[in-house]
Order: sequence, then C-alpha cells, then structure tokens
Amino acid sequence: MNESNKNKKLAELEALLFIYGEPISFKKISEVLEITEDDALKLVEDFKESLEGENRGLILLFSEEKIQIGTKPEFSSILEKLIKKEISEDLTPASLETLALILYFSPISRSKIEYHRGVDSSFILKSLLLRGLIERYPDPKMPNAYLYVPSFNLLRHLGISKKEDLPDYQKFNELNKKFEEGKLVQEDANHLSENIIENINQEEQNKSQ
Amino acid sequence: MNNVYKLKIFDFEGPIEKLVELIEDKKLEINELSLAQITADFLNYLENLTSQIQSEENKKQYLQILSSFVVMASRLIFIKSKSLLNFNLEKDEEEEKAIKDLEHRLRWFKEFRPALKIIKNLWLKNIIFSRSYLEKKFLVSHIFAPGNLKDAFFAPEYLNKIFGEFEKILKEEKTLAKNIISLEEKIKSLLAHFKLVQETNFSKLSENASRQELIVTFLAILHLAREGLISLEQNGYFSDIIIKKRNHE
Repeated sequence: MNESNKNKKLAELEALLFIYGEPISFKKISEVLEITEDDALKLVEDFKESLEGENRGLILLFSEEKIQIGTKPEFSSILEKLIKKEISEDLTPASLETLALILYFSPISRSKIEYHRGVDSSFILKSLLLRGLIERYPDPKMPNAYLYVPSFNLLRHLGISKKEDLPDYQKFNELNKKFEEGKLVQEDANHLSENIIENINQEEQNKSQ
Repeated sequence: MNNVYKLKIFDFEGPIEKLVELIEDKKLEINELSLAQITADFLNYLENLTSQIQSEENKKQYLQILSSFVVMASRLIFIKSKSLLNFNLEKDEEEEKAIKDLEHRLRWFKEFRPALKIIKNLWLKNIIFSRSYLEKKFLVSHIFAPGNLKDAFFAPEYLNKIFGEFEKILKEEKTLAKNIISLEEKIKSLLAHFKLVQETNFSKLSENASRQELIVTFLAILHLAREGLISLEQNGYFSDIIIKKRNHE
C-alpha cells in the first residue's frame, strides 16, 4: 500500500469500526476494505498507534482474532455524568474465582476451572455466559468439551484493551507453568506473592492519592 | 423492569478458596497438620451452606455443587482422624495421593489469590464503552425494550448470541428425540415380524427408515443371526441382504 492509499484505508477502517460497533474479525475487515488479511493486521496496528495520543478519546480492544472500538477507560465517568447514575454491580465470590481463572489462563477448559476451584462449575459458567462476560468455543483437541475465553464485554467492564494488559499477567502465567511442571519451589512462590501484593498495595495508594 | 435480565444464582466461594482463606486466617502453612486444624471451621462453613440451600427454591440443582463440599469435608475428617489417632492408619495409597494433590492445589490457589483482588479492583472502575451494531440494536430495543442503561448493560448486544445458543439447544433436543430407537425394541419388533413371515430382505425392513433406524435395524439383524434365529444371505457386494427365519426342530 502506498502512503495516500494507506491513509484512505485508515479512514475507512475508522468508519467501519464506528458503524459496526461490535467486535469484528480481521477476516471481515479485510473483506470489507478489500485488502489482504496481512494488510488488515498492519492497518489495525497503525490505527491503534494513532489513537494513543492524549488528544484521542477512543481505544481498540483485542481478543481472539477480533477487535472492537471503545472509549478510553479514563473517560468512563462521562457516561455516569450523562445518566446521572453510578454503575455498580458486585461480583459474587464464585464469579470472581471463575472470571479470574478465565482472564489469566484462557483459553481454559471447564475441568481445569473445576480442578482449581474444587467445585462443580457448570452453573456459574452458564450464568457468566448468559451475562455475556465470557464466551466459549469447542475444544479442537477434545470433542464435547469447550474452552472458555473472556468476552469483549468483560474486557470493557474491567477497562482493559486486551487480557495481556492485566496486572501481573506474565507473572501468574509463569507461576502456573511452574506449577504444571510440578517444579514450584516454596521460596520462589513466597517471593512472587510478596511482589504481587506489594504491587496491589502500591496501586491502591496511587488511587487514594 | 429491573429484574428482567437478572438470573438468580446461589453463589459462594469454592472449597479450595475457602480452605486457603481459613488457613491464611490462622496464619498457617499449607500441610496436613494445618488441614486437620481447620477441619471444624470448614464443617461449619458446609453447615452454613446447607442451611442456606434449604431455604432456596430450586435446592435440587445445588446438590451437585454441594457434593464437592461434602467430598472435601470427608477428606478433611480423614486427615483429622489420622492426626488424632496416634498410630498409623492402614496406608491407603489413593488417599495419600489425594491429600498430596489437595496440598498442591491449595498452594497454587494461594499464589493465585491476589489475582482475584486485582479483578475486583478493576471491575467497573473505568469502563470502556462501545455500542452495538445499529441495526441489531434497533431490533432488540423494539422487541425487548430494555429499561435503563444499567439493565441493558449486560444484554442487548448479547441477546442475539444468547438466542443463537438457545436455537442450538432446541435443535439438539430434536435430534435427540429422533435418536431414541432402542436396539431391544427393534429386536422385539423383528421377532414379532418373523412370526408372520418366513423370508424378507433388508431393504424391505428398512423402508422409509431414518439413518439411525437403519443402523439399529442392521445391528438387530446381526444380533438375531448370532442367536441362530435367522440366517443371512447376500449374493454379491452391495446387493440386498436376504433374511430367512430359521426353524428349529
């Protein structure tokens, strides 16, 4: 793509995301804009960068080969001012356990969630699916089993652009890998959790300031 | 309007998180001894859950969840009794393995637990807003008239998806219903048939039959042939199977 063509396609992409609103796959973008999927990937990357400036109010969300456009999390209060109402809905303990597992370790199977929670989780998974907080697709390696992933809706509720942006995403995944290899050294673990707790406390301090 | 999309679900911490919490409250390390020490607390929790479920309308559906807690409680009681009796119980390798596995899971969850706090802190703090595809939103709002934004929050853009899921389930149910032609029933009906006729063939038997029925019929014939009640003949590849009743002297 040459420079002027690229600018035109960037504008087209912006218009498409605005009209479509919902999560859209790279494949669909390439079809609508009549470009290759590779070009669509690059175009989206450029568009994402163009939104990073302080003078822009929008952000791109990413999950499972799809993207969606939304308002930056820091402007969440604008809507609350518009509707003059605070949005609140608590997460119950079971939802919290299940969502955390899905957010940090997706795609994840029901059996793995149940292993870590120690309890049958079919009801809570159904409830979370109905609330549109998670999605599932058939496990390509196991017939009759599903893999659970966070939905765009969930990412938006948490104000993150992709699951990898969660605090300590890498750390928890390394921890999990070690556990699965059965190699977790107790000292390592203590050190790790201290670090994580420190980070949380730090964040809370920052917030209260 | 407020309750339209609300799904009531009885909700509580899973056994693993509860155990980690109880152990941490007492500032204990994760090992067999500390598990023995918190057994009473866990049993209290279980009793509390059970009494809550008693007052629920659909208590039957919670039994499956409750059973996981009962299994955990019985394991803890086993550990506790082992620690109280000052002699070695007969070694049960499977149980030993289960206890080791439990400790492993508890250590894992203890490390993972800060993640729950992270998610809780992020939840609804700074929401990213987007909107649904105009056409779909138009349709949904006309059929379901979502009340205020708070209710609609969880639903409109996902309603289509949910209905898609329902459709899948409905379709599945239909095929399931068709599937049920038991082999036993088929054998009985064939035996009745052979009381009337001496000879028939497979294509006659399976006339207008669904694929499933065809298979069941075939299995039934094989079964009857094995029992020596009928004989099978086929004169060439893919030609019709001639079925003859065998008369026993």
